Amino acid sequence: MAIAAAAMAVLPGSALAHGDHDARPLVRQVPAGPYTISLWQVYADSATAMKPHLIVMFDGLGAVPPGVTVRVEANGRSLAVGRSNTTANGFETAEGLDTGDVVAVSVVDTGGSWKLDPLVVPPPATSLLPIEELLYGSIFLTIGVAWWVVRRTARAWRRPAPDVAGNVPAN
Amino acid sequence: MTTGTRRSFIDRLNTQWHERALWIYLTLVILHWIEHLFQAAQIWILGMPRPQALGALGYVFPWLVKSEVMHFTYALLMFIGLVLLRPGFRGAARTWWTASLLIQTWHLFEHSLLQAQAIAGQNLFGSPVPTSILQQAIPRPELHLLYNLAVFVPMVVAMRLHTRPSQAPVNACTCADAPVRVNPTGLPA
Repeated sequence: MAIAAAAMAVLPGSALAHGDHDARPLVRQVPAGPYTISLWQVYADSATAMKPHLIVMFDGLGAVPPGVTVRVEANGRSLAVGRSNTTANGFETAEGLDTGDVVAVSVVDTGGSWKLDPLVVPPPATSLLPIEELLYGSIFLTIGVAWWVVRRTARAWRRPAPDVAGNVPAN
Repeated sequence: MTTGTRRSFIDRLNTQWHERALWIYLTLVILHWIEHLFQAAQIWILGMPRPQALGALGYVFPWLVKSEVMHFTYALLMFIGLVLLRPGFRGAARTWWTASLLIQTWHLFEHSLLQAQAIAGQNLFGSPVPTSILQQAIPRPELHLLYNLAVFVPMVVAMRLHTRPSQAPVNACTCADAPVRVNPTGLPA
């Protein structure tokens, strides 16, 4: 913990990353006028978001192009959209999307407006692994190992310390 | 191997200090592993939204989970421990310990990729957040639960083999020696 805290003090602030949640692509590299757009879902880094937000990302650009705005509708209802805190080249909805929501995205700039085909939010990928069984098995294994470690650690500290040459005094 | 006070730190770590170093190391590994189990239980048993599944310490110190540096540092410390304590193992125990080291090497590589993206501000695979290679197939909490399990199991097998009494004549450390009988005064009987 102390080493990690020291490392955080030395490394730049950008090392404070988004956290350990995934972003999942809904659709990638779709043309919208002069732009190429990808739609991603990601949990806002607030620890209060119940549903993952939508990010409209401008592929290949370091930042959102000037003069561009994005409109997002979910099930016909307009959602509030702002610059993304997660990535500099994207807009992000202020609320999350549910599985099955129908999302319509439009990109608008001074040259025109381009509407992407409506998209139904797919269910999250189900794990191929029996994750609950794996988890319960891991918990029981860990309890057993922890008990073994406690007993062996206590034993190691009861044992007379080896001398400088590494010899352990006879019992 | 040299003798007396001229023996190197690595020599001592794998002989006279091996037993205590091993148990301290395994205790740290278990504490870290419990954090991953706690987070997994929050997601798959308690059904909490993933951003709220911060593990036990993460509840008090959310930056612990949000920080790539913390995850990277733990992966690095686990790797260093596996490398430093490996020479003390013999035979099948060493094979299992080496298997754990190889898996941890890949785990550390993946964490290094995440750390590099966080520092550079450029993410792989067009992702808006740092991502790793196997994360393209398996979501991150599942993936890192599996990584830590895959490192932990061969490590425990190696330690069980290493501490069997039959290993005492083979080992250069005290890990497999018979327990010391202690009388009520705390002195060896």
